Amino acid sequence: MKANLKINGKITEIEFSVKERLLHTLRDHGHKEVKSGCEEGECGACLVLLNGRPVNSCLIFTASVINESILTVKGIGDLHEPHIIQQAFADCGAVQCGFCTPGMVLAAYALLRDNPDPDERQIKTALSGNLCRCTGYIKIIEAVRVAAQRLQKEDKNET
Amino acid sequence: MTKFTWFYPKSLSEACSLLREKNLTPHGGGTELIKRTLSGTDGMMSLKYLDLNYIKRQEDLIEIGSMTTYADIVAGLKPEFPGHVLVRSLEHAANTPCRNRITLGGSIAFVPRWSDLIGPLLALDAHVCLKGVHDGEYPISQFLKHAALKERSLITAVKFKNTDHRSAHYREVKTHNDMPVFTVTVLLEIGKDRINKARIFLAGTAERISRLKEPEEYLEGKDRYGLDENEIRDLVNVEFKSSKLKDIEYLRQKAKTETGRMIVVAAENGV
Amino acid sequence: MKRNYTSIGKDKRKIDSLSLATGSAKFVDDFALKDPLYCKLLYSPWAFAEITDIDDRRARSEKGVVDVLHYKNVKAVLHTSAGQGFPEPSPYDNLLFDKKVRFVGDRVAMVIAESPETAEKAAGLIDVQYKVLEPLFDAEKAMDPGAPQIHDSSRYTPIGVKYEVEKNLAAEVELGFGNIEKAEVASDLIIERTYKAHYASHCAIEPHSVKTFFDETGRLVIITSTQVPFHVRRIVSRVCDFPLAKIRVIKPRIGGGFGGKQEVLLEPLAALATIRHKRPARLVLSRPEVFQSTRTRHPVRTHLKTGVKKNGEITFLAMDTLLNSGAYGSHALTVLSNCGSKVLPLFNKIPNMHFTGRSVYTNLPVGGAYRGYGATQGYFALNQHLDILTRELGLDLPEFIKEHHIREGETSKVFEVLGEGKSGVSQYIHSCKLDTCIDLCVKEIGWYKKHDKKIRNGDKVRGVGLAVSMQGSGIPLVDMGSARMKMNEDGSFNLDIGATDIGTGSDTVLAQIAAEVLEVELDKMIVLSSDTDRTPFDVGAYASSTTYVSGRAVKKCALKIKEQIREVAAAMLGTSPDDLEIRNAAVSDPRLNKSVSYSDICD
Repeated sequence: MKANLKINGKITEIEFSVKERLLHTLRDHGHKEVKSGCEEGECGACLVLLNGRPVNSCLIFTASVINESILTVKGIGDLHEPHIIQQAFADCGAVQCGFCTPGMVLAAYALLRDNPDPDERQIKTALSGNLCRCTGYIKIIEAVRVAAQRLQKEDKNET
Repeated sequence: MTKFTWFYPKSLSEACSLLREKNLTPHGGGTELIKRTLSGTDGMMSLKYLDLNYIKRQEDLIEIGSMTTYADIVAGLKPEFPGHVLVRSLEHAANTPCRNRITLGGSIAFVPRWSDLIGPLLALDAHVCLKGVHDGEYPISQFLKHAALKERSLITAVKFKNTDHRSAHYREVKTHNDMPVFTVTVLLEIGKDRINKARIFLAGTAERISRLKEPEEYLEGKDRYGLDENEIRDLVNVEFKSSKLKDIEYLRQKAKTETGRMIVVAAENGV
Repeated sequence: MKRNYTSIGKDKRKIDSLSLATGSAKFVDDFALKDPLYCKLLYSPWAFAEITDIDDRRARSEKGVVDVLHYKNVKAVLHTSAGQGFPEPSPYDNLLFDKKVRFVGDRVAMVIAESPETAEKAAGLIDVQYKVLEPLFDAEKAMDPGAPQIHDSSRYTPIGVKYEVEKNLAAEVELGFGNIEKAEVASDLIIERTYKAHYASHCAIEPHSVKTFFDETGRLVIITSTQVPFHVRRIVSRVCDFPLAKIRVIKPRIGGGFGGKQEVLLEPLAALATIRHKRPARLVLSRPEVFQSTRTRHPVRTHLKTGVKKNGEITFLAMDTLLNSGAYGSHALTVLSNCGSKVLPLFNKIPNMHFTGRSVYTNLPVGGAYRGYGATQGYFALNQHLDILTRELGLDLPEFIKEHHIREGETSKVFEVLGEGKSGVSQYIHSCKLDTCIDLCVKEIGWYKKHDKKIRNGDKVRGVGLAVSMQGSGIPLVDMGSARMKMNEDGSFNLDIGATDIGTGSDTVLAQIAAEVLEVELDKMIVLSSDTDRTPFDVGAYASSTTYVSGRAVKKCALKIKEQIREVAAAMLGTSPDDLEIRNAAVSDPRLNKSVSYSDICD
């Protein structure tokens, strides 16, 4: 079937099969930043924002989200203009193998948009669907905290 | 066999007539459906355009639309009812991205053995609203007994009385992200420090869901601050289905301990 | 010795971190292949069975199926899937496809098709006739007379160590000194216990993945999620009977390994698909396949017997280790050796010691390399044993450990006696701060307040425990790494290393070492790693050795470059190389107050 998806702000007509998962549709259409780790909603490597909210793209039928808005980690910043959160992950040593990082960054992005000054518990809840096998999460939580501070500072400078 | 197709009805009546004409699976969030083969059906009916994502309060009733996600239920109820049994149970179910996608209707349609939702709905004595062939409102207990009610009907909402209650919910898991082996739901109505009414449910037992009548009766009229956890513990007798992966005796003992603990937690809880 | 470092020991950003955080870094499955073939494996549902026949006609007649590989049409080459230095200490007991299957998850066949869906569907259409055999599940019974024999006598070990297939013995290690019997008599108390460490899965978030294709010059390119690219090249060449010179292995970004990718499991299969059909091929495992068919941490049963005197003096220690290797002998000898060699030297003053280790075959999942590599299993037992022992004696565990552990300047006989499939190498402890570590730990966790007490807090009961362990980096006289450097006209350097960054950050660490030696900023290092065509040899990422072994190679290489820089600068400045100072990417003669920058030198 064919339908429109709004991926990273761009409306694209996409062809996909009726039982296809959003994860595969995205990867097949060049969005390799969305990773496949478990395909059963446990690891969060495939996490994307659907209408602004974190979801596991492996648990979603593409057909069920037609005309909806999807944000991947490339949609918030790239190598040349990284988002503050991406920069904070790099600066804080929160990236080891990096396979979980795109999902982590997006989960953090959704959190900080709704809650600019989260405490540790809130950060942990927000990242509860993202597994990291390398770091033990300490640096990741620190990165989210640093990103929160930097974002708040930026807000202040703008106003 | 007809080709598997997706339908996107724009109104409830359109959805109901589609259900009458074809063999379709209603799709809420799809988190459960995606694991199934879905062979033998004509296709899927997405409910996304039906405006079933809502929480309404009508006098002493609360109505939640079937497309409301766990996250939205928690966000909708928590500010006003922080101790509501649905807040306590759904707030910690699964994980953040899953709670953003699992819907109320989907969870009722595919009651998993361990459900985080059914215990609380039973404790609330909720009613399930159906549209279609079995149009009407059914007590959740009746709905669960009669699988046929789901046929060619659509779960549109759940209604329950807005009662002032204390609650506690426990999930038996090995790791945070696990699906629970069982859940304990305790709902207490308390007036002047005395327990007026207790409703206690265990999901995941041999009979899928068990209502614990003995501790319920025991609790009625008791002082909320004078409960003896061990005494309650002895009143909890549930069986679990034998499986190679589970230690049945451990689960039996764990169910006793956690139920006793949850009752005390609910009774002594401020909100 | 100590100096003001500018790069090493400093908080530097991991050089690939921003590309990972923005999603542009590429893992194996992120590489696009043109018109690829998709591979899907069929696994054994039986723990132990003989395949009496395979009929692939139904699968082949499915539209889009290109080929079906199995024992009837793939050459049988005995090898080990363990990615170790050659000749490997692991037995040659693997075939790509065998007539016998030895665990649930053992490979039976592989479908090669035009789409993943077709490949998966066709895998279910292969008709396999099994003659189910009596399985062996209990490692303790593996060597009993009459136990099912898992492997036949064609199997062998390339390094010629003890290996008895008829007894299901995959490896055996024994060492001892002193006299245990005499020591038993002299002991006031003998404590004897058994400890069991269980299976574990590595759970790297990226599943095992490989992509293969022929490049424009006809060379076979293998992009793979591996810890050991050079071992992959060697093993694929041998198993697929394809010239090594025509194989190029590339390791891109890797989503974690932890030992699970120190195993050459998928590369020969995808390579065969490409070699046979001259088309790109993709083989990526699903999460259940990773759990079921790849490698695990070996379960180990450790029996410990210790004698002590009333004053706490240890008279003897006897360790009997039984390692369940599962259906194949991947790392069976070396993990077993490490159960003893990494553990026993910690208490180096025990006068009487004995270690017996056996690795046995069973019809269970296959063990392999897994962080800790035997030390984990050994210390799991030893630390519990010490806890029990000190309780029995009424002694304080932290003080007891401090009294007995190996110290700076000391050695242990075990180092010399026990190596990897051969005798070991004498090693001395140059630095040891275990006492400081224990003191800090005891203070921070409140040992004396909390030890042996149940502290209840709501639904949780908390307590404290203490364990110690010692590890070693690299395998002496076996491991090796190498580096190559090139200087550019702007004073930057290319650093080509065989070392394998699997998310560990070794690209960054090695660049830091080179930058430190050459007195330049980290961003002047352009790192290329793990490409068998373009980088020099390295054994790969294992034994926690990259920083030490490959790092040494980088340091040596950088020092040679530095000497050349010095010589050229001396000629340019008209002075002697010995008078020159190198700092901040420039060479200067302080007496003449003249200097040249790196970019001047290379211009």
